[in-house]
Amino acid sequence: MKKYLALVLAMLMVFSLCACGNDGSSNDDGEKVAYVLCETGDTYSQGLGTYFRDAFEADGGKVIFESFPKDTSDFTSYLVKATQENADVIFAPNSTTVAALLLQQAADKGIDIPILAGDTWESSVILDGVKGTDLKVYCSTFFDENDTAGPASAFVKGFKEYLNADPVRLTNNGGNDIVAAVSALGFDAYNTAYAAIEAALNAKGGSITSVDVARALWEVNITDAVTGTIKFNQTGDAIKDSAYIKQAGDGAFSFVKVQSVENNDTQGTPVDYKDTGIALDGNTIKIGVYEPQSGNNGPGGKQEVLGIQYANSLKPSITVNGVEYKIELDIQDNGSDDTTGKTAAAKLVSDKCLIVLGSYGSGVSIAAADTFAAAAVPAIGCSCTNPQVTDGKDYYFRICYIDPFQGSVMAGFAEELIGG
Amino acid sequence: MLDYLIAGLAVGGQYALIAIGYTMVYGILRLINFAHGDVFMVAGIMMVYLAASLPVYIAMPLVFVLTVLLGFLIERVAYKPLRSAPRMSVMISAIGVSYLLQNFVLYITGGLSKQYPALPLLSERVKLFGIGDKAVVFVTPVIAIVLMVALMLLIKHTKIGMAMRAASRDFETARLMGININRVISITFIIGSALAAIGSMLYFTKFTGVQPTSGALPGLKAFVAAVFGGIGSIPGAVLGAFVIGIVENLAVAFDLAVYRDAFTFAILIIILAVKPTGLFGEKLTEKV
Repeated sequence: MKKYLALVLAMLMVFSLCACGNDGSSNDDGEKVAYVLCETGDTYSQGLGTYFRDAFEADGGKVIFESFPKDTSDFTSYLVKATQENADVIFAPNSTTVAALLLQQAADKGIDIPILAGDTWESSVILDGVKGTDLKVYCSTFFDENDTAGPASAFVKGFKEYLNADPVRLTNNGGNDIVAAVSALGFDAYNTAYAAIEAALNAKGGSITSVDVARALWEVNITDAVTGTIKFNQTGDAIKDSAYIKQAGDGAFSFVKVQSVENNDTQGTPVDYKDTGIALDGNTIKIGVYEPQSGNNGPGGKQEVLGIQYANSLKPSITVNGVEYKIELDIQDNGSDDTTGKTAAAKLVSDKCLIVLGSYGSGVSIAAADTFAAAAVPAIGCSCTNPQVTDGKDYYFRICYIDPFQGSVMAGFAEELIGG
Repeated sequence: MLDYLIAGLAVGGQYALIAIGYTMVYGILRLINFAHGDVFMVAGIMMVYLAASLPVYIAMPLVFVLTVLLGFLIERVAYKPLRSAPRMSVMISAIGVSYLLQNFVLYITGGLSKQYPALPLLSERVKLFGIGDKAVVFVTPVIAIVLMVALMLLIKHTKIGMAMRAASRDFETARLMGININRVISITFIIGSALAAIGSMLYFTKFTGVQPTSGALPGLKAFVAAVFGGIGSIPGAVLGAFVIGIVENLAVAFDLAVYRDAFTFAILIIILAVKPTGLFGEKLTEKV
């Protein structure tokens, strides 16, 4: 009993000593300070955080870069740090799982500076997180749900009907029919693959291989895709020059602005592939779907797959020269983990997929790239923004913008928000 | 600095409530109940779903009762049949229950993080000692200590407490002496689950994102706390939990945020190397 009393007394003494407190450091007037918070070991998070830091510091700002270990749920200390360092803005490019915890804790601590993040936060999880708070949360995204004209609005209307037709789809979408940008990317990825396969079939008839599909991808030029024009530059990235900034508000995201960055890339010339690849066998074309269905990125992966499945429901087959080729989706879960991903990729290859769509998440995409390249199967990355996914990889394409672009977009927007 | 300490005490209090469950079950059954952290998580998920359709004042006691029921059921279905089996079998069964709970919740929720509802009084944002945070942060360490004292009184001064002490001292002999061992074990799990239910209400009110793996890491840290304090000793578990909570948060204060989990597990390794029975653990006497 005495031991415990002594312990409590000691703790009280330490307390009162610390209550003398510290008032935090002050920085020069006019200097913009950003607090960047990334997850250790997450390629996307670390990459995007670094690009933001580079862009922000290049414009004369100061960046405090902090990494937290995986599975952290207590962000109080990090938020306290941000306040004590007099940060003007917080940039937290992390998964929705982290956001679900971070946002409420930020409100608890009375954080009133804007919180920015990348494309992963365009999700209903963030809307739930800001409910009942005064937080200013902004994220970048790939398309605008409220676009009233054009392909985006037709997609949104049709996709919501598709979701509401089956309660399992609604659950996988997070329990509601709010359209996530990654679903639009999944939809566009399928249509891009469809266009490439169709072109290959038209050129060579029924004896196409995965390499023919890869060659066709270089010549794809889709002007009415939901997320904008799709054509690939020499690295295999879609040529993008703008990102949409949205703010998380009461129950919905509101469009803030289009942030543009100049991009003078031109369509790439096809790589001279020497491999044979996987040959089409019979009249069923397999499109592999390499997405996380579990793990940290499981929720986003499921939403992306819903977009792909919706596109497949609209265009389930290709008819060329009177022959109908049915398209089958082969969905393999990469578990948001590099090791599980490699196994999933190997399975897709052995299942004789002609082309693969995915993934949500740069780390798993990079991990699987060599497997796909060795089998000469092209892959279209949907929402993996780290440049390493396509850099130096002839078989990996990508329809979303990349992190150096996204980092400078958010840094530019952050500077505008801080003002002055 | 005070900020970090208060945060550390709060999270320490939450770990303490889970740690008591681990240490009690180990003390009597010599079983590390790996499913305990996941029972904690299920309590959180149940509150999310119940509070959406019932008023919070009804949901709270209902979650409490359901969690206790869950703990009781797990014991009856997964551990009791294996009581005469080698110790390893029961531990494996516990791991199995842990994965079962996680995947069941994953199936039901689809995996996206759910927001925990606001509980009356606890979720209010207040300012104490110049620090602003949810009221639950300041209340948790107090509740943890009060419950710990109540539990110690139960164990020292009631008949069932004596039965529990006897069972943890020598299982077989306690049975021979006529103690209804099934009742003792059930009550242990009931108390452990009750504490997990209260712990989950306090934990998720502060850390509002609930998803299937939410219980894994806190469960693991609570287990480390129980080992650090001396597995089988309740005050030890509570002390260990506070130490881990404070060390974690001070790591961020000193710019060592990346290593915060490393510190927790380093504490585990050090205590096992230096004093394997933990700080307040019982010394095992060997009769020659």
